[in-house]
Amino acid sequence: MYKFPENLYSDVRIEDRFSTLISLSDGEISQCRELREKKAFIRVYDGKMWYYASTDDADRVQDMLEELAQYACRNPEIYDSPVVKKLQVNEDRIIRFDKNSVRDVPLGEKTGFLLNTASGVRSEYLKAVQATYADRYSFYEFYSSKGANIIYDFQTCGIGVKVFFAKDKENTENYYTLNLTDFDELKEKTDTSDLVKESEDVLLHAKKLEKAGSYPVILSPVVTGVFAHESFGHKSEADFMLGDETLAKEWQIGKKVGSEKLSIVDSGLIDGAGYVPYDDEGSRATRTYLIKNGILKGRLHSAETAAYLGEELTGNARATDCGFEPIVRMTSTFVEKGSDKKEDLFAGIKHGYYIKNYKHGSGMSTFTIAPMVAYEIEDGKITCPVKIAVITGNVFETLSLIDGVSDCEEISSSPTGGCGKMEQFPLNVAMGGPYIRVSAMNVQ
Amino acid sequence: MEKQIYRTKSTDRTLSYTANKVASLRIKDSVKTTVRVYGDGYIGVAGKSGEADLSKLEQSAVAALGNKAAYPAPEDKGNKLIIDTGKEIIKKSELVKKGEELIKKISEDNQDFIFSGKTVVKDVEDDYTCGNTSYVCKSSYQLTYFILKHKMSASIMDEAYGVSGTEFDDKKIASDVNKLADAYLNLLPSPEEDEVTVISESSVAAHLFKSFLAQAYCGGASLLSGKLGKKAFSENFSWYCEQDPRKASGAVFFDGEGVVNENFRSYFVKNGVMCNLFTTRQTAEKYGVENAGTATAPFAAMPEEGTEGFVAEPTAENVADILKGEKAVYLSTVSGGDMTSSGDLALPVQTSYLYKDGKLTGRFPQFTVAANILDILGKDYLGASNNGIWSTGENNYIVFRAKIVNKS
Repeated sequence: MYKFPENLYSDVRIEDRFSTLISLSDGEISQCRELREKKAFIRVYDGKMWYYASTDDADRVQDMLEELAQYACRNPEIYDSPVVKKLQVNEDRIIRFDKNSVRDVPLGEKTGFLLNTASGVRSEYLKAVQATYADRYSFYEFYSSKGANIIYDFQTCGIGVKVFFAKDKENTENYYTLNLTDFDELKEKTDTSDLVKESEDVLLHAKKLEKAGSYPVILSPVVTGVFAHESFGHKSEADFMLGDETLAKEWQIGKKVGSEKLSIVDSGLIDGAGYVPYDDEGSRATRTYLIKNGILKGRLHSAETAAYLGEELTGNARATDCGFEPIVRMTSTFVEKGSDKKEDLFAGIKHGYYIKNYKHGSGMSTFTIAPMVAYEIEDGKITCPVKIAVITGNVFETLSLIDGVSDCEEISSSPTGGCGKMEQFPLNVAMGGPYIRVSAMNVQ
Repeated sequence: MEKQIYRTKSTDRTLSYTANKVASLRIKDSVKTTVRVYGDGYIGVAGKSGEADLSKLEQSAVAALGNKAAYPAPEDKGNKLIIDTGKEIIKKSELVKKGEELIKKISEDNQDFIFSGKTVVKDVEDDYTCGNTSYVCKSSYQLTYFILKHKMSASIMDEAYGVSGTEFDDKKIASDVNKLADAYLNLLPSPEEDEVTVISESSVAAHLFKSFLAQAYCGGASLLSGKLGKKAFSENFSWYCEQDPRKASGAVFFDGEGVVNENFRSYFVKNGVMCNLFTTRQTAEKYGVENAGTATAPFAAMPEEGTEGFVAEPTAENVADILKGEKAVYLSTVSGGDMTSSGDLALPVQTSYLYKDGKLTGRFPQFTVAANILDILGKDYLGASNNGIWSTGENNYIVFRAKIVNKS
């Protein structure tokens, strides 16, 4: 294997990635790509600084190790470094997708599936339809100078159908997506029948928001997921706490941060886009409670942040691909289901809004979600679609205002999107949860 | 059979700053080659990361013609042009030292804050060949950004500063960071008025991108449908894609399909008139509109409509010239934001500053800007400028009137 430089910590991550991307625009192929790329990322640490190299020539890994070692300062005590001590030494081989790999599905079959799905979307108001199929099979290797030797594979395949509807001066857009790990299951479960009905309803009946303000809001599972990810998940990434005593005090484990009904979990063990059995510095995946019954219970770590805060590794040091270094990222992040019946959540609202689907979300101290499809709720019943630009709120106030959590949950992901942090986008993650009710949110 | 080769070769050196220190150096050298072939009305594409065997790639691309992706063949105009703006922005051997000096300076000058961020120094060469046509564009640029975290704040970040361009002027960067940090510390009450003059990055106009897509526009599903060739915005508003690498760092003077626009610029709005749509050669032909020449060349893939490099044409040398002594609110950090299909835009503003007498003088509490995008760029549009806030880097601001709601 590799000859790791002495008196330095070093590791090598290799990804052999097969991917397919097919897009249709109004039934015609607008994108068609099958690609195989093998890249490597090399890290060298001298106890003070990390030195990284990315190469698309896996034969150059040994050369890059030696080049990076020249930048670093040799440190005979490097293995006593708290960061290096934290790094796990796992040896494992987990191959799950070689029998049903998307590499083995002919491109024509994927294109045919997409054409069939897109052609099934019909309406007198349909002006444009963009459909995308995307898949990925990755074969990962990880080796370290401490002796780690890990091999595992990863797979996703999914479909997205975006429609544009218009009548006179009114227009609307809507989106269907399904992302799984098996092509045959994807074909079987793809169902866009509600997309047309819902889009026509929004086009023909959506009214303008009467008055921007604070209202009770119900989030669907997919919106709950983006809310959990954006509002709290990013704040649980412990790299933000490096060198910051105030944050370490403010974010003490055991602090009350939300409603008692709220529990948020991150786990790399769940099948799908957030499946990460070992992170990109070789740490084993865990199931980590971020919030349990409203109490801050944990956070997400790399070896560096776990060493700094004196906490356990969680398996969340991740990179978008072998072009980047691992940083603290989420995997599958979701709100745990509660005990309320979905119907009861709606029944408790005299006037409010139901956010069914979203275009995008973001969050720092304030979170923002841009709804794709939203409805007005009157006297406990969904009445008509409504045009809402954004829903926003202060994160901690909103977490405390969750007063209903349904007893069913869904976890989903995007076939082409993902999570962005700093320069790294898109990282494959999943998110979800139950229906949740928030007693007050800003609706614009 | 026509053949296009698009190759991008890049060298990145990236410094990462964590908690007031240089934490890492990353070296990334990459070559990506895409070959497209055209035959019988179809396109076949293949690509390779790393050094590529062109004959093998061409064979793969020819095989991909079997995917039956319809695409018009390219034009070989036989033109040749090389524009080389590449230069050594920072000596590679001095990058870590320069970064250490900069982070030390700003953290010592602003001891209320913790700084993290990156400096990326990049050299890029884009090559395009098609028959006798060949273009080469070489450029170098740097991007530096800092996340500012107040030491007493419970937020994970409080403010952000970014600068990009062909110079790395550490003194000016430090001076600008100091100006931002000083203004941040001076917390003001919310503006009394419900309608204010706003200075924003021109990227706000990007909320209109979907409305300019040929497919959405021609299908009648665009907010702007029916307005092509007509006045849809303020006469002062012109909006274009800058493709001249001498004017915009990182710009490439040809598009992903080898189209070179007059003066390396493609207008989408000129003096308020909507004059073009986002297209590729394929969508331009399909919808019977002019090709904008701003397509991108995604690696190993078919060309796509480009939405990068857009600027609002300056109407004044400095935003202060637009304001004529009037005070304004500078939007620094906006959390997401979006608009309805009617164009009603909501921008949740995380940090904003009072801009008075050419300076940022204090920070406002959070609020939301609420306005219709057609009004922002129409009756409420006051102008655009590249200067007025920061002393270094490439910037492009627009100034408009808008309502603010959700005031603290």
